[in-house]
Amino acid sequence: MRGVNKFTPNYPSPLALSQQQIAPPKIRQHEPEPNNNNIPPDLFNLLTTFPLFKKAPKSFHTKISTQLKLMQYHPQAFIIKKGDPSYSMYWILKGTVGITSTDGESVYAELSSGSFFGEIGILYNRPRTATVIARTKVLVGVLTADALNLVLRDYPLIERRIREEAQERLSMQDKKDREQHIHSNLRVVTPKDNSSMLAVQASAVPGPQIPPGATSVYDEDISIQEFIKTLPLFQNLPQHIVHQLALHVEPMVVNSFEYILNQGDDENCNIYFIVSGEVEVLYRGVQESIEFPLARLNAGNYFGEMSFLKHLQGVSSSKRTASVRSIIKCELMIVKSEFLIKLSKKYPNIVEDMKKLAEERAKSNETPVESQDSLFRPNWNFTRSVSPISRSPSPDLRRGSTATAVTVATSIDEPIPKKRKLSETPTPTSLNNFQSFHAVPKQIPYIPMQKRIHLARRRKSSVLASNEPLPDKILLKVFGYLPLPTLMKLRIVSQKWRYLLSTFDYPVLDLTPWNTSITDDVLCTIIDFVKTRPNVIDISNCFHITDEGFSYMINEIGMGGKITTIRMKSNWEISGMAIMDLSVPSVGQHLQELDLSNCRKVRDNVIERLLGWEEPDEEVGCKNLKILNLGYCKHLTDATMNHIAQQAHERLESLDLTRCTTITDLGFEYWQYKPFPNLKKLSLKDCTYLSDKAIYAIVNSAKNLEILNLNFCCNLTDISIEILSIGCPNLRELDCSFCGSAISDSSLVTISMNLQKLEKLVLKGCVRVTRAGIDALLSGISPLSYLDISQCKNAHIYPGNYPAQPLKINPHTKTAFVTAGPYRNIIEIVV
Amino acid sequence: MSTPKVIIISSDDEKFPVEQKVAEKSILIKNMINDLNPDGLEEDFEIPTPNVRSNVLSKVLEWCEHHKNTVFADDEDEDVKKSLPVEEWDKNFLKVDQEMLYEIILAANYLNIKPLLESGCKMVAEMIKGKSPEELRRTFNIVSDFSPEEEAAIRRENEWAEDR
Repeated sequence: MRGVNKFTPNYPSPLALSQQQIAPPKIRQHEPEPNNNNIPPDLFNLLTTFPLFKKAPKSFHTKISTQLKLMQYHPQAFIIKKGDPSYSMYWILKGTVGITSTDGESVYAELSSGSFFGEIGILYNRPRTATVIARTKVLVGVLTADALNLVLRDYPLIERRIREEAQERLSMQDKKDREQHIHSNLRVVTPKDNSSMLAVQASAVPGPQIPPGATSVYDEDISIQEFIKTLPLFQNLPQHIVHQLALHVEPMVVNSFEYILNQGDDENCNIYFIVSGEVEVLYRGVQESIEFPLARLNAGNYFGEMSFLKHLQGVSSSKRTASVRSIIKCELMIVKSEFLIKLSKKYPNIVEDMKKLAEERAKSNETPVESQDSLFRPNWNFTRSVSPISRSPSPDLRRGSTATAVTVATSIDEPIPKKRKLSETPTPTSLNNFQSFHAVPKQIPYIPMQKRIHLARRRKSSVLASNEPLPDKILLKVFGYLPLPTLMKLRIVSQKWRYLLSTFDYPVLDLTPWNTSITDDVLCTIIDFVKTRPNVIDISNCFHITDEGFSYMINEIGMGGKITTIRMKSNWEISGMAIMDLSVPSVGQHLQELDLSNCRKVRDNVIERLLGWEEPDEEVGCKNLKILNLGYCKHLTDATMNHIAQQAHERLESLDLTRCTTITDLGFEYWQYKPFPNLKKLSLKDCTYLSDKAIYAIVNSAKNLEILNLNFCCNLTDISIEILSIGCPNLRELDCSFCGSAISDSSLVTISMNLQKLEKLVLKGCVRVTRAGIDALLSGISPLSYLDISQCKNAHIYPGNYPAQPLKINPHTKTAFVTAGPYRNIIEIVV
Repeated sequence: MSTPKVIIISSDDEKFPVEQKVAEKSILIKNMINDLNPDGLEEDFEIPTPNVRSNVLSKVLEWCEHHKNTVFADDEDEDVKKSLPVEEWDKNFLKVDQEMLYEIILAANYLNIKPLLESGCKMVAEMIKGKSPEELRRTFNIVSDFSPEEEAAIRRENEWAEDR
């Protein structure tokens, strides 16, 4: 167990050693009644309550527990270090650990007994994202990735659940990280319009302010999937859609009294779900200067549906019909409108439900809620504590709320008039204007510094835009002719260019021209640039890429986009686990072509998972994968061939098994009784051990084969060519280079009499071929246009050593052109 | 009677009589001719191009004249076309000042002459390739609207790209 060794403290205490000695001996994997007496019951309980394992059966927990090892660390010992590869995860039985920065100086969090850590690392093949140091003497249960996989192999359903869950957590984590990054670097909090000044002042209240991102958005124990499943709106969705949804949501935390939506905004039509906390819906009439609460919403509810519905109906202006402000600290889940549109096409009842709710809400807005006053009052009091105004607002408020109700009733059908521009009509911002809010006071509104800069900048650039010599449409066309590094560099020219560069069509990401310089870090910056645009990804020969970069790529491009093709020849550092993650339905369902040639860590289980298997009500694997290149994957065995025959025989179009020398005739025997109607292209280059039996199986299964490469299949005999000629009448290209024992004059005669579509034939190095065979070919029924007889030393004589008429060979190209056969077509002969 | 001509009129009212074959390099003009003369051209046919100036139009028609017998491949192989360099004659033809190059591109876009538009865009792409951000801003009349921090952040993201 190298994982365990890896993290053993540098100076193990004698106690630790003794603990290791009493650790349970590893029990054989498939023991039916594993003996878990040596595992402390505490640990067993921890296992069953570990969120990812919660739904697993008891037998699973028992099996896992037999794989656990106990380890002890003494204070200040490193348990894991940031950046190290991940081999294990840990449950704390006794003691406390600190999650710290690399140098151990700043402590992010402390975990004590009952907690666990390191799970994302092993489930997702990520290097450690933080350092964990023992604070006290610590006793942990250690589960290695290898051990976990061993057990999971027997529980495919649970494995899938765990992987999905891990992926969702990870994607949420990434999104949070990004959010935090934005908060700390770029985001300038500017109120959208002056009405939100209330909020600005309110948030200035001294009090416990929790910095955004510092606290966890989602309780680690709440699965996003679980939350989605509790929402009535999504109750009837199938599992894989829920998973996709879980991957697409964005987390958001708002502190109390912050605006989430602003009335009149039309930036997006996303829908917000409340995970915890409470918000209020506020409405401001056209002539009003303050907002009135329409309703309160708490956990499980959602808002933002009105704009979304309008957007869905194609109404051009889908402005927010009301503002939404948090009452207490809230956790929200944002579902992007684009995703929801896609979803609602498939599941129209979502929209129906939403419409119903929208109508209900619109109706209830018409009848003033009796408790309106009391609803509003707490907020009012809260605000008042900022600027001490003693005037009671209630009469005005009541008047306002009835006025609001009338306007709202119509607001569903007609968009609210465009919000007043700051510069044109200054509206009251101070609370002093409360009483006279019908009059429009001439008062210059306060605009925060940041916003002023922002506005000025926008104005300037919009003037300049008209000065630019080429319209955006042409500029985008120009970008289409530029290589990736140039495109990335151009981002710095201006905001607009950066925007154009981030949105224009970029369907093919080909990194092969820069293969030697593509490291994980570089790949990540490139992915951040191209985002979800590419459908075709070629990272062939980018051999520096490891799991880290690869998983990032699959996550970022795969989850939101549509990857149809991945070519990753010679990405030999990437592990089987990482490649398997392509099979997650949200990524894998689009994948049609995959080139894994010379990915040295590919084994049978990787191919099995990628091709998937049948399971009731479940999608497993890449169900559209039909072009597969497995060349030089030397670990593949006949089991892969069996799996292909079982799961992919109908869809497979092209298969390359170049130098898969451990695949034998037996593997092809699995093919014998399965039709491969769509298999057009097969390469068995350098599969030197295959015999006629393999060809027999192929002929039986892949009758529509058009291109076949038998280069260096030295064990084949004339029989192979004979059955191919009869059984695969659609062959267009046949490469029999160095198949000396299979190609003779008589096999060429068989070809010439049967293969009516053969255009290209390579006979390089087939020494038994004489001019008699060539003549037969040239006068046969094959419409040849290309024939390679180089290194066929006997091709220029007839049997019995009679010299033949020499070909007119061009000395430069070493080719001759002849016109021959019933079609009188020109045949290029390579000598 | 001589074969009828197509007379293209520039925005400044200059008239350019050309062979139908030459004019039809522009898909816009070709469609116009076909739509308005379903039985073929019987007499001279005038077409105004209100947003192309005469000096630009004469350049564009020079290109059409040169390529009147060129057969351009269909759009099917977009990727191959992208990687091909600009044809030598077009390259020399488009060695004009930038203002002119842009106007030719805009005219080609308006008149729907795809091969000319492509050559023009490729020339602009070539021009962009070797230039620094500062030079590009000058060329394209752009004032940088990034704060120094933002610019530094982008530069960091571009580390790899800068060396290519």
